[in-house]
Amino acid sequence: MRGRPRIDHRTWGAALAALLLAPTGVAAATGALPADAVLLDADSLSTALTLAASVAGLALRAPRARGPARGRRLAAVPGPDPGLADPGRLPQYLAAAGVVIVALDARGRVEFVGGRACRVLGYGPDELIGRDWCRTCVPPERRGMVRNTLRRLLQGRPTGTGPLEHEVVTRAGERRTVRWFNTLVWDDAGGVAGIVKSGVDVTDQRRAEQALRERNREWATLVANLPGVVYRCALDDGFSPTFVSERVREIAGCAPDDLLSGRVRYLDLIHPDDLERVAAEARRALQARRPFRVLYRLCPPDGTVRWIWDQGAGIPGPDGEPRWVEGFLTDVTEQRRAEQSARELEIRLAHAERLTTMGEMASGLAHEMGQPLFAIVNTARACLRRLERGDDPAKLADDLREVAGQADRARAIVRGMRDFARKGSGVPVLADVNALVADALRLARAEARRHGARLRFQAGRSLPSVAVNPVQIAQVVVNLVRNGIEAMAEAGARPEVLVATATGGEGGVAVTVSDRGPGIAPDTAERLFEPFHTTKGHGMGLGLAICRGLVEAHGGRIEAGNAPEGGAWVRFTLPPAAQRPTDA
Amino acid sequence: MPDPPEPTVFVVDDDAAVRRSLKVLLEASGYRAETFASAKAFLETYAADRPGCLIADLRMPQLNGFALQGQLKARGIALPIIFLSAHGDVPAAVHAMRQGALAFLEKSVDTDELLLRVDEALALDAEARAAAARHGDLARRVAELTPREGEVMAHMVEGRINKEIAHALGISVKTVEIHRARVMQKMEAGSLAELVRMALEVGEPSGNGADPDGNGAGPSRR
Repeated sequence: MRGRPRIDHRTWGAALAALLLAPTGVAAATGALPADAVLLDADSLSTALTLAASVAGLALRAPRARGPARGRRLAAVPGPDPGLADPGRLPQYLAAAGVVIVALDARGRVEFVGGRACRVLGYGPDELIGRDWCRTCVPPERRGMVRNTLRRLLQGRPTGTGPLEHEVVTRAGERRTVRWFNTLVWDDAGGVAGIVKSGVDVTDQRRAEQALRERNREWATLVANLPGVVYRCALDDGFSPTFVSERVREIAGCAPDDLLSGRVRYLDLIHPDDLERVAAEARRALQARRPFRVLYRLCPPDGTVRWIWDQGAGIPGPDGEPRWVEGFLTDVTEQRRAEQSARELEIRLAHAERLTTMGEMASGLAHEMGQPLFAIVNTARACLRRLERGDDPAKLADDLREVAGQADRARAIVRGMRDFARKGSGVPVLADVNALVADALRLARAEARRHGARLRFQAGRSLPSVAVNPVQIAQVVVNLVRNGIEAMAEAGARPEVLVATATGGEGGVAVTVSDRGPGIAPDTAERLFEPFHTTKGHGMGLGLAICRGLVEAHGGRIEAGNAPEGGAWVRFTLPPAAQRPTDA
Repeated sequence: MPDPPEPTVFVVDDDAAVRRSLKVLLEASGYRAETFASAKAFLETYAADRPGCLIADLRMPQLNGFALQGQLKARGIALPIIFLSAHGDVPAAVHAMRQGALAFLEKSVDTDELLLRVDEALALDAEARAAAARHGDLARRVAELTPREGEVMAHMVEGRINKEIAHALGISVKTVEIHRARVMQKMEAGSLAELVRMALEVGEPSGNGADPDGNGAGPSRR
């Protein structure tokens, strides 16, 4: 046996069958034959065996026929013209086959090695013949298992299911993974003559799989460690999810499976006040093939409310239409809280600044109150005198109307002062800018009078409504007007402050306050809105900084410059009500 | 001017309601009142011979109360001024009074007090105008005296008797007596005492000899 290959027809037939059948990987029961010996369906098997038999005229025992038909020879189909089926061509076929074929005798010694096997194992065609397969080619740690399996096979005993995949050691010591199909070769007596092992070198495939697993693991780790939730969902009515990363537990209080199975609907967790807006915003963006970014409140079952920043984009299906949404959820509750407290602080600062302003304006405001009160007293006294004199009371109507009108004026001032001194809730309300400015000017007018300055208001027409905190906008206007007045008091110009409203950029409103003072010095311009920057002898230099803070908190901008005809202007803008992001 | 013009309270305030109310109050209290929205408007309209008084707000844009006061003074108009202010501003009040304001009132002032001050101001104006008128009258009479009569009057008011005067002027007692009678007549004085008072009022009638007409009497020599 040793030294010279002893390739008989049986081996050839079995090898050819293995060659034809093994790569198909068809799993089928094959009668009494051990299931892992060969896995193929009956038709393929018989076709293969018939072909092999026809080629080799072999006494192969059809596995199906084993048992009752034991020992029956397959009838060889006589071939008038062997042609390609000439058995003499078999070595050529085997050498060219992409399948590793090794034939072992009943003692596990190599009896035949195919061309491919030689290439995979790195041995010459003859070098392995007669050597113990397990000792030569199976790595030590697998040797026992493989030997055991072979032994059981050779004994005709089942060894479990499926092909056997294990590593082999090449001549160079390299390891390669081969997926083996073991086919029994029977002798004429119905005994096992040996095993044809046909296999596929799956090393590269396994490595690719390993790399893929590695990447999957990396990806999973990455996703798991991301400070947020990765998701993919269908662009259907309920945004049914197809993937949700693990961290969804932290923000939504449910497992990814709860969402994937539909037990929990994500949309049901979104705050009812936000849901409609968010869904509409996202759909609008997706339809326009734009990514969306939405902010909403999520109400997990634990009763907390979390702020979620949801960014996603549409993924087109084969037809190019957006079919899925992939996105990322970030829990911004903490940031919101920080912003909230910053805003709270800003509100308090603004309030403190208003109180200071009120204090500084107290004398002027007393004057402002004094005017209507004085008028009321005078007019009322006049009425009394005329009554005492016997005038027709009916003639007093105009004067009494005047008294009532002046009382209203006084009341408006008081209300303005009271509102100005209030802390304010910070909740924006829909307001008309012209009315806001007029209210603010009622307070600022006293200041203008005290400095002998004229105060003019040019109200723009058909301005859009704005969503603002009214007192804060009034504060900005009062601050800017006072600034203008003070600038002129120092310059001694013919003092006039003009407040004008107009439609601003992006559909909002612009309010411009201009004076006839000396203008803004170039070295001051840059730091104009910085806190604690002041060119005045008094004050903290917080006025304009607070103005900027308040305007920016409203989503607007503030800027200043010098007019060509002299004097400075400060302009601030407010976005139109609809554009302002909804706040809580 | 056909009739002596009726005294008027001129109100200058930039606040329309205040103006209206003051006008209504003053008129209901029997005064004639005119209102002006600014010091400028008042200065453009007011003629110096119109009697009355001025109520002006201290704080007004452009020309404030003090500036108005200064302008009037510069034009030689002595209209009594009542300043109104909503600010209890002591330095401003002191300044106003130093400049000759009649009163400095806060707008919280009692109506009666205000009207009392208006009365006072109008009386002051009337008196000043009467004094000015009288002063003008006496000056005209003095101007009608001849230089010699003037000299005689100067001696008369110093209490000299005719003989002393005749001696001093180097004329006869008879002539002194004639001059004396003309002086009394031209000055419309009923008595020497009245003449003395008149002389005090117009100031010492100088015995200026710059009489272009002359009246035959020789130039006086001291």
